[in-house]
Amino acid sequence: MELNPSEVTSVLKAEIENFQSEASTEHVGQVLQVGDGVARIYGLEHCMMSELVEFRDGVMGVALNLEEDNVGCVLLGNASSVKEGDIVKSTGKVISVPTGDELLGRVVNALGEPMDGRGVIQTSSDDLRPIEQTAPTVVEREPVTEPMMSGIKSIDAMIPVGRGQRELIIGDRQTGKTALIIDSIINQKNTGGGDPSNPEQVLCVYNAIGQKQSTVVEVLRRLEEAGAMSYTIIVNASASEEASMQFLSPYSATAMAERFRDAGRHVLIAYDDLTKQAYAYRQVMLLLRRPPGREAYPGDVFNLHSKLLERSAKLSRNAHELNPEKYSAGGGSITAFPVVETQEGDVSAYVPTNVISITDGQIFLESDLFYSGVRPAVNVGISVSRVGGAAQTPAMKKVAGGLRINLAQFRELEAFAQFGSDLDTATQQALTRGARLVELLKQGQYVPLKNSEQIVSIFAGTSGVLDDIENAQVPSFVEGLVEHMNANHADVMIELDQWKTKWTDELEGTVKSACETFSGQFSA
Amino acid sequence: MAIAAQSTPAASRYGLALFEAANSQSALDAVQGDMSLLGTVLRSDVGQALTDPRWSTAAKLGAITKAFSSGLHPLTADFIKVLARRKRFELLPQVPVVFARLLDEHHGILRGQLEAAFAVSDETLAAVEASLSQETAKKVVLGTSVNESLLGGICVTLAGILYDGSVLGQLNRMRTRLETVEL
Repeated sequence: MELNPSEVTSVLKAEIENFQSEASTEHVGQVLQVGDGVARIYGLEHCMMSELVEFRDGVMGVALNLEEDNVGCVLLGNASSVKEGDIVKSTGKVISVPTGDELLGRVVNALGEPMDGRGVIQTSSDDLRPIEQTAPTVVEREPVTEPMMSGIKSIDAMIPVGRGQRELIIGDRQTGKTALIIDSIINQKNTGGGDPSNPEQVLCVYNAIGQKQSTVVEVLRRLEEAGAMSYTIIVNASASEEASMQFLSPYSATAMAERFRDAGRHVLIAYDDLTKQAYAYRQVMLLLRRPPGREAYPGDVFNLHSKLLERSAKLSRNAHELNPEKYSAGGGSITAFPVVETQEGDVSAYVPTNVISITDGQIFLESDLFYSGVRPAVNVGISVSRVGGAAQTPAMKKVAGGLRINLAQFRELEAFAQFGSDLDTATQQALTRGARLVELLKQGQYVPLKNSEQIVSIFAGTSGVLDDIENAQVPSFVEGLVEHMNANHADVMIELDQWKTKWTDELEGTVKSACETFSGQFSA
Repeated sequence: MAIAAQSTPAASRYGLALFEAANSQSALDAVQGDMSLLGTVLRSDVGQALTDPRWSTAAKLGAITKAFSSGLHPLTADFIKVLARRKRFELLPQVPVVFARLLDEHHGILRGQLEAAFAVSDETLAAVEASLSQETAKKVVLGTSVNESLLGGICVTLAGILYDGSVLGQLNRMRTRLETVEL
């Protein structure tokens, strides 16, 4: 934007000349008590729920408790400058954050302020959106039909996620929950080449809640290295920030995602993690003296998560005609990957059961699997996707159809086989197949695979091509096969990358013969 | 600026009961006199002793009746005894505050605070009070204080509303305008 100094001066001159020097009236109160990030305020009689209030030195707060003669607030900044007896002004506004393309590639806090030292984010007041929004209504929605490819074989094959779905990622600490999200974000580069202006590009929002600052730096570095930051926003409320910022940040992140959704874009949002958000919310609510319930969480901790996750949805194609004020285009979606951390694999704790019941399925990560070398450590037996089946690519659906049952049989027989008695051929075959499939589904970090690459690898497993290969050779065989296909059958691979490609007999024949050719080369 | 005194719900109820009793006996002014006296005493060192938990309630009651034996209106004296019998003696310091608030409401008085950069003259104060009385349709009584950081003009806080006519406030508003002006 070109700025002419004389124009600026004339605008400022007009502003000063037209300045009304009359007195202003403001609703005010006084701080009765302040501490632990919350304040009680006397007065502020016209204060509304969730209204922003301004303390001295521009520190802001949010009114959360409206009582007969006082107002309970959480502070959104440094509480040390707020003193007893200070004047508090009401603003008549709710918390809003800047949204839009300018935020892509940036790291911001729960208020949308930059945290990456790359200067001011150039957004105007029109880009501000309140962080609390109502979820799309029933008529504005559509069933989930398009795939949200994670690039991870075990997920895309057996727990497919669709655009607009909420898929919970749950597991103990150190089981690869964040890694799964990073891979999924990196994989979105395949949707539009990493160019955020391409309407096909899936945009990503990574919301870190109560994470170590070092973890967030690592995530940022990985995403930058993979060229994924160009279409990603990181909303960071790290462990050192106020509890208020931690529990508000998912709503801010969602408001930023909604801006894109309402313009017809597809967004992937990850909340990492909601357990810490619930901790922060519990802390604030106990300090505000709301009555504690189960595990000392306040009564509305379920609503805390349900109102958040309901905002992730697939919008109807004619959403724009239904509500032109809110939606500038239809067909957009927000896919949510909420993360919940369990203790010792206990999914029956309060927050995990709540979030499991809200979401459309869960990916369960297990530390036993992780330490036995199965990474990603997805327990496919108890991981489900309730709506994603309709969104799985037809070719993948066909190829991966038998995968789940084969693995289930394998796990059952594996326990038997440990007795070491003589096994019949059918059992031995099922054991060989299962071991190959487990090996096949292992995948390194930061290497998400394209749809075509996944289909070819899984076809090699389910069609029995891998049965003759030594277990230890499986990774190198699959890698070689994918390279072989990319080099010699590029047309097939491009076709398979299209979602809608059906798994025809002709296609199967081509892939099968290519597998056999490569198998010959590999053993030689 | 003194922080607005807060009263617990129990103190409000006892205060309201006393107020209504005094009103029905047309003894509002007499009881108010007692209350302001009590308020002054309770804010002093004597008041500290009267709220000291190491003293028994009977001893405190004895001390008060002895000290005020002649001066107190019978209603006030009885009220103090009721407080003692109901084991609510610790509410006593709050009652004068509640009573004064109820009395103000009864007489239609609004109390507020005027802050100015320089000491204001009595005429100015009266003029401000008159104009605010007209706006709020109540009798406005303002306390005054001097705050040099305002630079000029006055600020009035009345019933939870800040009327800001100070130079500082105008400068702040000008800054916000210039910072947010669309170029």
